[in-house]
Amino acid sequence: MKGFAYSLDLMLATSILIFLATVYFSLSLEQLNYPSYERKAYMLDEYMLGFITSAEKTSVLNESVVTQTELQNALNSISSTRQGPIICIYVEIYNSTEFYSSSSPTPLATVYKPGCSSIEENARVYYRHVYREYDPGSGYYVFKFYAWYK
Amino acid sequence: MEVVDVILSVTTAFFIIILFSTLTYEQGMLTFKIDQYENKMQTADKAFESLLSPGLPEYWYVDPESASYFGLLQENYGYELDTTKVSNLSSLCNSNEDLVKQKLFIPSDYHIYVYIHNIFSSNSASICSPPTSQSNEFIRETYVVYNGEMASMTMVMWK
Repeated sequence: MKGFAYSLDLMLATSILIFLATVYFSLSLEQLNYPSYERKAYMLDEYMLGFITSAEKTSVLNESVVTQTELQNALNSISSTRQGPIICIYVEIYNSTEFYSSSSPTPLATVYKPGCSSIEENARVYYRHVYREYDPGSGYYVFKFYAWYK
Repeated sequence: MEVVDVILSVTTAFFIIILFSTLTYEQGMLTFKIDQYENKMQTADKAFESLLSPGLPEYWYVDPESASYFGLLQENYGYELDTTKVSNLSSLCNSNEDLVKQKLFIPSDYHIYVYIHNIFSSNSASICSPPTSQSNEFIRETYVVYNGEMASMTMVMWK
C-alpha cells in the first residue's frame, strides 16, 4: 500500500462518494433556509400595515411633518429583544411637490429606529400620503418607509 | 491485489449505503420539523388574523358560545381596537380559555397570550396568561390604535 487511494477503483468510488455527499448536504442546507422569503415578507407587511395605519390614525405621521419626536418614540418602541429577527424601520418624509418633480428628491426629515441607520438591500418599501391641513407645514407629504429584518 | 480491491469495493459500497441511510433519515427529520413549524405558523396566522378582525358576528361578546370567531377590531382593516371586545375577551379567557382558543382556531393543546401596550403611556391590557418559559413560542406582533393611542399588540402562542 502506497497511500489512501492506491487503485483506480478506489479513487473512483471515493470521488462518487464525495460528490453524492455534497449533493445531499446541499439539498439539506437548502431546506434549512426557513422561514421562507415569502413568509418573512408577509409577516413584515402585516407588521408595517399596523405600524403605518396606527401612526396615521393617531396623528403621529401628521405631526412628524413639523416635529419627529413622536414618530421617533414610536420607532424606539419597536422591540429589540424579541424572539427571532429584529425589525428595522427607516422613514423619509418628503414634500409631495419635491418628491414628484425631482428625480432625486431631498427628504425634509429622516427618522429611523436606533441601530438601523443604513438601509439594507432587502428592505421592503411602503408609502403613505398625508395631508396636513393646518400651519405650520400645511400641504401634502409623502412618507417613505423602508423595513427589513436585521 | 485483486482480493484487496474486492474487499475495498465492498467496504466502500457498504459505507455509501450507511451514509445514504443516515442522510435520508436526516432529510426526513428535517422535512418533518419544517412541516411541524409550518403548521404552527399557519395556526398562529389564523389566530392573529382573527384577532385583527371585528369577529363574526361583530358583537360576538353578546353570545360568545354561538359566535363563529372572535376579533378585537372595531372594523375591518382599521387597526383600531374595540376596548369592549378587549375586556370581554380577557374576562372570557379567565373563565373559559378553551372557548377562546376554539373561537380563535387554536388547537386545544396550545396556549395563547395577547399583550397590548400603549407606547406613549402606561396603559396596557392582556388576554389570557403569559407563558412561563420562552421555549417553542410563536410570536406575532403589529401596531394598533388602543384607547385613541398608538399601541403595540403582541400575540404569543405555544404548546
